[in-house]
Amino acid sequence: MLWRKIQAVAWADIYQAFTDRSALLFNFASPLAISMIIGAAFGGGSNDVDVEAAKVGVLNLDAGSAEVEQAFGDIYTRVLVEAPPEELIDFIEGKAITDEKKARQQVEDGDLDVLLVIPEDFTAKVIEPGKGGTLQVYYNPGAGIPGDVARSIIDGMTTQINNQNIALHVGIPYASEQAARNNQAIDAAVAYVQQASQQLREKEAITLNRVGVEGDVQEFNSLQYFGPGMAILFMTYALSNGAVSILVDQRNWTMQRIWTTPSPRTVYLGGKMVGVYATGLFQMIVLMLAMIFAANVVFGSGVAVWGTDVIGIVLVLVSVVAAGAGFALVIASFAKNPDQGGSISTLVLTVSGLLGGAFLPVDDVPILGQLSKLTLNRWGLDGFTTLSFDGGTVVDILPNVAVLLGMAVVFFTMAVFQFGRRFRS
Amino acid sequence: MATFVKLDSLRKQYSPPDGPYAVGPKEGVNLEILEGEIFSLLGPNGAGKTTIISMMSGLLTPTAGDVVLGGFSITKQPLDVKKQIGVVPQDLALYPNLSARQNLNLFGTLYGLTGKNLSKRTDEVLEFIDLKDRANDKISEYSGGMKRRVNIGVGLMHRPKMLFLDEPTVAIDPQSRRNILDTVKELNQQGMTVLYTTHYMEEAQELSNRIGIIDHGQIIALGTLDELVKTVGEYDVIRLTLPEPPALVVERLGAIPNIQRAETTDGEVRLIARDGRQQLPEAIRIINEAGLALHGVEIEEPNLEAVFLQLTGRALRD
Ligand SMILES: Nc1ncnc2c1ncn2[C@@H]1O[C@H](COP(=O)(O)OP(=O)(O)O)[C@@H](O)[C@H]1O
Ligand SMILES: [Mg+2]
Repeated sequence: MLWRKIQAVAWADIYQAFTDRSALLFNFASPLAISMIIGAAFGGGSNDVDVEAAKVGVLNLDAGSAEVEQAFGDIYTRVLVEAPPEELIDFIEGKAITDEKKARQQVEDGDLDVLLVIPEDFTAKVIEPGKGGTLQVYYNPGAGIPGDVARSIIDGMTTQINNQNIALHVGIPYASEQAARNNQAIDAAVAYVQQASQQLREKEAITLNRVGVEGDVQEFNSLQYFGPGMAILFMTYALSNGAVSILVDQRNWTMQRIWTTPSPRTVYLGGKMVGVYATGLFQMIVLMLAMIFAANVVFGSGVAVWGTDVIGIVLVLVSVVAAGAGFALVIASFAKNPDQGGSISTLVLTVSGLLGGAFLPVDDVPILGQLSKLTLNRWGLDGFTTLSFDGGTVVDILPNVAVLLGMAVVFFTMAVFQFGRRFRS
Repeated sequence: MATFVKLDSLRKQYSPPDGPYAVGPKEGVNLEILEGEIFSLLGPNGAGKTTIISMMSGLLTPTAGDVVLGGFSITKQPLDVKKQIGVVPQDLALYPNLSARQNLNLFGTLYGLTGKNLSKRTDEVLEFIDLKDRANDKISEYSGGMKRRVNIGVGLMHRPKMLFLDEPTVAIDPQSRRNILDTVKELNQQGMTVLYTTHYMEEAQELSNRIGIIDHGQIIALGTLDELVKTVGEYDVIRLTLPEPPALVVERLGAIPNIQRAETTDGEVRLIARDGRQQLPEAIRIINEAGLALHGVEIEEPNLEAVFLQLTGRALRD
């Protein structure tokens, strides 16, 4: 019976939230429009646009070794820069590098997608039994698909050499063709590799040492970022309407009237909380689906705005709405009257959205980046982008879920306490 | 008739900063309401009517004292009391964006009705408040009178033994007021005990079996209409329409033998007089002597207004 009563109170709230036309327009249409506009403005909506050639810099310092006639580093230079095979020409735009510092800056600036640094002792280390050479690969995480292509080519070459599966003949035939025709030294190297195979098998000879360079955030898939950012922000706005309706009920005496019915007082506040939560959840789900749909219409193809890990998405969703509901209730519980509650909520929630990165990423901004960790917006947004942009899974978002649920518990407790205090009579 | 409600030394002390205002004298309000009667609390704004109703319905915790209703104490067994009462608040306590039916359903559920019982009772109440054909329209689209009817209807959902109505006719047209007064009488004829608060003496006069007059948080008179009017004795109220009378004139009018007191209220001088007709010539003579223009004269038989004026020296409507 108690639950039925709580449901009845909650239902009244939910019904009113979704039959108010102007609220609907604000809560649904605006976040959808804003995120689509930003998405279109920054481009990068789709994942299968024509791939540009990756700009790959190769800094070859390999001094070779007396034991081989050709330094292994030259294999990379040859394939990537000097004489790329036809199959690669569309994908790689190689460039020999002399100044490492400058090249790393170029990676950071996005002028280079990948920088491969082959150290002086590379060949020496590779051929020395039990050791192994190390390649440094610098890449810009924002480089997107071209960067991925370049890295996978370098990966592939390295694997081939490591497997010494007569690498230069089978694994990268183009390289071996070049070698056969132009440079017998490579043949010698291959021969050496074959010879040394037994010793090398004990250990992978070459380690790829990847160094990510902070990417320029503009290169984000912007809908994957602004979609969740806007959805969370407007979800909190919608929640605050529900929370402030407690103050409206007090002014209109509908709250007091509910208290004159033979129901414990918890029925009212419980019903309101359930109503607020359900409203937020519903709003969020509708927005998420709408964004997927709109992204497909506007950008043409299936953009995984929210990623594909359904369990992860649901976990972030339920926890970010819980934190949002709690937050909205706390703000309302401290407001003097509905009008003040409305304006304070809008202000606080907008600041929280701003800090949390709803309008612009703030992770790298000195103080804001730290402050943003206090907002549910940031934790929710990070959760969603971890799943979509970074291709993370449930495990990766557990910290976000934990923080959000922790916020929810704290906020709900504060709200119950404060409302309880106000309504004591 | 048996006692249905007993207010026992009931008192509410509002604490600062909202103002140190107490409803109820030091010893508290003592009052009994009988089963099946219409009891009116008549008093001006701010007298304490809503405060008393709120304590009786469990919204406000009394600072002292208790209310026993149908054998249950509001402070110790609030849910048992609430099952027996329907409360019609002074404000329109309805969800404006829900329809009448949705409002009735919501509160019906909160009163413990479910399923068929709930929908059947909702239909009955809609019929009773004569809103069947508009049942599915939003409250916000209703006229003031219709809203008031729904406001009452919500309090009837669980067939309470007693109904509290807090100033249910404020700010509505005469026809809607008539409708509400008739509704209250009809409910009472069906056996419902009614507590009715108002600041209109005509309403209290028409409806009530017994009346309590309340002022500044205290019940200053209690009884049937006849009993109360008798306390003023043979006093009549002489109303002289006299814009801006000089204080001296009012003083001289009050000094006429057999006139108990003279009061000025907006453009009117009221004289409380034993055997009013006999005193009128002397009053008119004083006014003429002062060179004032008398616009009108009216003599009222003793009524609640006179009782209130007699007891407080003020008019009820202020
Ligand atoms: N919550 C409150 N805090 C302080 N004073 C109050 C409060 N509610 C009512 N009062 C005061 O108590 C008195 C009685 O108010 P009320 O019961 O509303 O009168 P009525 O219903 O007869 O107009 C008024 O003076 C009012 O200002
Ligand atoms: Mg009142």
